[in-house]
Amino acid sequence: MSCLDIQDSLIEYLLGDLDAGHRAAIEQHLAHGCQQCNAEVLALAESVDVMWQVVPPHKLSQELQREILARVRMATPVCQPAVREAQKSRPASTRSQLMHHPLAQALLAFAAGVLLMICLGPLSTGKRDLSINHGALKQAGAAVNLASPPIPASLAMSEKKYESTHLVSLRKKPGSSELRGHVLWDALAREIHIFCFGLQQPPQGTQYALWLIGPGIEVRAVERLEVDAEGICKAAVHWPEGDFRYAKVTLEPSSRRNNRPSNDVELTSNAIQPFSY
Amino acid sequence: MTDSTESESCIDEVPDAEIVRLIRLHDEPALLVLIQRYGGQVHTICKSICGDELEASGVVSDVFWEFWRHAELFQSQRGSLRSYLLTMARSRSIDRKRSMTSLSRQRSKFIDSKINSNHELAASDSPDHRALSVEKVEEVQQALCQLSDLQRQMLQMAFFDGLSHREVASALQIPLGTVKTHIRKGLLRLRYLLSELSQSGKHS
Repeated sequence: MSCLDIQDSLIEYLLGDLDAGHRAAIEQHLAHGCQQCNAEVLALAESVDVMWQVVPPHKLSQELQREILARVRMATPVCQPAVREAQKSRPASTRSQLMHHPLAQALLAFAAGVLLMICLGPLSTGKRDLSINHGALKQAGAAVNLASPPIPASLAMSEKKYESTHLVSLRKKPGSSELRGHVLWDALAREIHIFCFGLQQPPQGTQYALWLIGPGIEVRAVERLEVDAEGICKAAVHWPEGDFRYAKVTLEPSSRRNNRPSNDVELTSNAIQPFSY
Repeated sequence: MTDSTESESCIDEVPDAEIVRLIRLHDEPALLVLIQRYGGQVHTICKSICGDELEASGVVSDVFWEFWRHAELFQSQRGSLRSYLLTMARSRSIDRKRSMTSLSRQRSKFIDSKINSNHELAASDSPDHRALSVEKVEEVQQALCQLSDLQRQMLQMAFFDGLSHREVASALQIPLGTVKTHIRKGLLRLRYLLSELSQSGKHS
């Protein structure tokens, strides 16, 4: 690229509007020490800064400040996938047997608590309150939209509660009385936890996929789920990028190759506003 | 002076470079200072581009979250910390807006509304914030008033409506090259006018 080309794109470069290739070409040119272009980018950077100064200073709401800090405290990008991988690597039957044993439940609950505390660090606000048993979740009824009937005890190990959560039920059809699981939306940690039970193995050649459906065409397969021998499946996934003003999840058997839902809905949640709590 | 006022004054005196250094060490109080210093401006940009409070709050959170995780990407020689954060806010807001398929474009009249309403500006709710004083904002707006209407409109569209140069050209039905020239000249003139205003302010 000539100096003229570079200078022609410098404002877009400073505003982050260029694609990666174009951006890299400019950075390479500047790094080579072209005095004219470096002087130009410096002058324009100062000008851009002046332009941003037109934005009047004011303070962010206390509520949003707290939310950001809570997100920082609770985020465990290294820890949580590792926990999930460890769960996946264990045979399903062994895992479900362990889950039903009261002593194992207590030990796992304690270990999970310790592990999460190590990963998340000490808390100063008291906002984060890990709830790894059903009783504690019930006590948090005011903070979460607790659905009834309760989550089966065998699934209670992974329950969490925060002030930012929504807990919604999973049913065969919206409004159906037959509860088949729960979805827990954690807006601060930006995670979706799904617990469902009573599932049949999906048809041959397919796998249950958790579909996230938002406004417009926001249909995403966010996770492929395995059903264990007892018809239970569960997962914790990070929210993908997208519009989450309203969203719901469905569980549908889908071909591994197909990136569209089959519309053979096994379970569905009601639509919620995950960010309102 | 109350304790809280004293502590806020101390916070205002922490230089940006020190805040960045501490955040790179994952110092949480430093992040809080950063949020208190620039969070409002970041929010204004996000709201201006997204047009929706809920979406804007999400982007604000993303901006600081991203900075927390990747503060090492900030290079002070490429501009100020405010510039970096607000540019990131603009960029992420554009991404968010593009993903909002059901929302029609909402053009903010940010600059015009602020220029026409100095009263509103003066009443912004943080008189004790020193990083960017109200007087300074007024100086910039004074300088903006001296640009041509077209230049001001283009700067507004590019910065506060989150449009690319190509989108500005398309919206105004003006050749892309002309848009680039106007925006570049407008920005450089703004910088010049502001330095003139600052100089005259010092001499008076």
